[in-house]
Amino acid sequence: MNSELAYLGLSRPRRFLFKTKHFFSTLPRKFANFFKNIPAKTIPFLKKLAKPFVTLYDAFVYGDWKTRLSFLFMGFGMIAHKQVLKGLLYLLFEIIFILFFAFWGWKYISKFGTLGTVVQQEVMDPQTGISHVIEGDNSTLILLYGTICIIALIGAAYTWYSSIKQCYNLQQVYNVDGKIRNFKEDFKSLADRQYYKTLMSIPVFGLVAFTIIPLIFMIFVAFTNWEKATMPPANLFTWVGFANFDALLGGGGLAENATFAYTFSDALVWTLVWAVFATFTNYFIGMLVAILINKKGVRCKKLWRTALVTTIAVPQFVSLMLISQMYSKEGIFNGILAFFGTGPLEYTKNALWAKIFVILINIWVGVPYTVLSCTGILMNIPGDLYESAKIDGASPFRMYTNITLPYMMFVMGPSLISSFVGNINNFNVIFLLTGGAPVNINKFFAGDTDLLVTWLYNLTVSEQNYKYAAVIGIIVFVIVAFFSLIFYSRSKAVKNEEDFQ
Amino acid sequence: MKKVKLLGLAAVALTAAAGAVSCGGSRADLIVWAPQEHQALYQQFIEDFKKANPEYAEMNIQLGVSSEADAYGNVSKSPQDAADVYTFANDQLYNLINIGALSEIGGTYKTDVETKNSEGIVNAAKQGDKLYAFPISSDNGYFLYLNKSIVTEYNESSTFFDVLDQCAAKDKNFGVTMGDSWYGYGFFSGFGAKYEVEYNEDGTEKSIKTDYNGEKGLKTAEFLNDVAGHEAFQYLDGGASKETSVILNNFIQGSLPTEEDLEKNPDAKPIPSRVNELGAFIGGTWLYDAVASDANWGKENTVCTYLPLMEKGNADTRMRSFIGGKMIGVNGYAQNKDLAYDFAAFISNYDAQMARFEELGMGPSNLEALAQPEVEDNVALQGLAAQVDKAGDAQINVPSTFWNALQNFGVYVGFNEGYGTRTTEELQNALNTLVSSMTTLK
Repeated sequence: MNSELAYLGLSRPRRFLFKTKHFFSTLPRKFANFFKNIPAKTIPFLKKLAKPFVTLYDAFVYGDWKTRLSFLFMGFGMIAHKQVLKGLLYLLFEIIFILFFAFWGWKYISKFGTLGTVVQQEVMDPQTGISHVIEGDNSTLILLYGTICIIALIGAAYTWYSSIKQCYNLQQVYNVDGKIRNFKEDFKSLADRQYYKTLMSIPVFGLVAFTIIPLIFMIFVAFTNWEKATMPPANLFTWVGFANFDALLGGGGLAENATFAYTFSDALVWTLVWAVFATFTNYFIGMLVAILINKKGVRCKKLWRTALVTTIAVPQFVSLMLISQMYSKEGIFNGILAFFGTGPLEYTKNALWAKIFVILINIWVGVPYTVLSCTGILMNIPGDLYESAKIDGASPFRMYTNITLPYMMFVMGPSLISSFVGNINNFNVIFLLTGGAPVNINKFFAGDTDLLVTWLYNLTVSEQNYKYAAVIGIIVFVIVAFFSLIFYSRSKAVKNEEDFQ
Repeated sequence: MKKVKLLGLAAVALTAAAGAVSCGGSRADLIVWAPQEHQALYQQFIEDFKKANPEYAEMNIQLGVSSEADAYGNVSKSPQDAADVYTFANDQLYNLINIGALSEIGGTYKTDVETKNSEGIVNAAKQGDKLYAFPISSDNGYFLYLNKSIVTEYNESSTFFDVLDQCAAKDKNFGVTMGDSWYGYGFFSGFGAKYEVEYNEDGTEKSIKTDYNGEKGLKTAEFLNDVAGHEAFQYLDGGASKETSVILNNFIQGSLPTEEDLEKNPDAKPIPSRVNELGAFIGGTWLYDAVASDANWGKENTVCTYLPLMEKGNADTRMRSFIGGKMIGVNGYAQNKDLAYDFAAFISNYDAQMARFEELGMGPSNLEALAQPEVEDNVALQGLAAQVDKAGDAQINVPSTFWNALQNFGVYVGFNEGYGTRTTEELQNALNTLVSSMTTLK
């Protein structure tokens, strides 16, 4: 099989066979290539990593005494080379940082390894009969402030490095032509050539304070035993290594870990099943309804669209609460079943029915949104494409698969991904409809319809089991990142951006 | 362009300035949390307290809302910022001590509590020898409510099935609180199944032992399965099944939508009472008013009495009741401990307990109050007393793992699909799961 023509000459099943064979036969090569590429990819990375150290080495070895002294006193080289104000600012930074660390940071970072050793105590005053609290270490604060300190340390190390680099550069420039940019010019460049730095400073600060620090904090929590029994400030928690991850996989030999692992695997599978069904049922049914309304000859198009939009106007949780009542044992649905002499069908009692109900109800709640976004795109597809297809004798199904669907997929691919990810974390629907019911005695604070997210909610809010919640949080993050990256990089909208129109 | 840049700079500077501004507020001298329906009474307590103790007259005492059942949930969010004095139901004692939210009570405060309140409730306020709360009521128990016109024959040797049959004959049901572990305890201990907790020195649990999956446990499970299989069985719980229509309190007294419900759903409607469907049910004193005001039950038909036997002819197998109560706790992190202790003692004394009995119908724990004729004549409290007399256990040293584990078991036996028809093997498996989640300390 060496030409494309020969491939095209094959029948469909044979093409499929060929493709499969090709895939497996090239697998070892792909594997080998992957490992072959490792050095080529890692060496530049390592070089980049080593660069600061090389610069520091150079500065120390080839620098003059002024530059060398800058290692100890930040900005000394600048002061010596007539950049007095800038040098003083660096020195001030150093002093403030040392003070900050000595009086505040050290308290926490020194205990970071143990997360505290002094337990809070209560002492009874026998005379008055009143007891008083003697405060001990607070593991939560040590973990939180320790994390902030580590980030501050990294930032300070970078500032230290960049000050030395600048001193060394200054020394070289000074030696060559003796012309130095003064502070005013430096400052001006912040509003001109380096304006981006000025503008980005606040967003970066926000990102670190509100995203990165909480994220690192959460990751740290997954390696501790923070839960109800070890709740600070009355108790201490401490590092436990990978024990929580081990429990997730059923290790540790405890019965509890077995239920925890079972709950996790079951909730994970259900979460993925739910996300797939919730996303694609909504997408395709919504698209079909949109096509139906969009069809020539359908009357009162505006009316149908308005009717669907109205359902969006009702807050989602109100609809969900009402629906959950409709399908309850005394609800209208079971009333109708009873009228026909069957039922009652109680979805809170049977795991399979509960799951089917949740997916069905989600269609009811979610389809109007898809219809709305599909309608706009459908109206955008050029009509001549359909006309020429019709002239060529294409069937409606053929037109759908070859014109409508590719077009829609191209535009809606990214939004499909985001709705898939959104469904993995779809808290509202599950929590308001079933609350996780039916109860499963083999599960660890979760019912049969609990998603990973609602389970996480149970663990944190009602059980205060932060250690497992953090592990689940990390796993959900990994899953979501995995799916979004794969789908996103493979979606046509990203691969062939210029294809569109 | 320059203008735009200046604007950008200004924005950066503004944001930085905004971050630097911090706000502070001063805390009241004493913050007190009490349930919504007790607010007026507590306001009165505060005024009376200031009058009785002139040295505290200038103190700023603030009142907040937190129900007794949610005390742990609200306090544990941040014990340091929570109320200094709050009410809670005794089942939360262990958890509240664990987070340092209960201050040990000693000296004259302790001797006062010990001598003036009934012994069972004082024990329920203790961990080991240490007293942690001021009891205010001892009516947290359950007994049998009967509609005399439906269950006509009831005596000391009546069993659950006697009651069920009589209800079935009149096309009514028997409401059994199977999906709530507080009641679930009564079935297991009625058959003699036990648990035992060993504590560490700091009060945390060291180990839990139980024979709930033994012979007695299996007897209980089979009994519950038989009850669930009876035509007159009505399953009730505290919300464990996630179905609002079977929550005990709503079922008996109906419920008005709370402010929270209305916030979520402005059209929320009150849930009507369905006590009319029942000929008998297991419940506590707080349900009496609702039952007595029901057209079909009424004062004349409502009987409060001891619970039935679970095995015919075996007087030892009466369903037992937990006995507990509401308590006042002083937060370990309270700033003004003197004030907090004095106030807590004040709102748990004889006068305060009598005020709660008269206005809220709470059964007192104070011995003097218990001896008052109006307390002695209270029908619901009589029912509870009848039950306690035959089969009551102080709610102490309950494993922390007990509640969730037994609740799930109850939902499985009485509610989930296939209830009432489970095989011995299925029941044994469920019991084994129950025991493994009860005995594993997390």
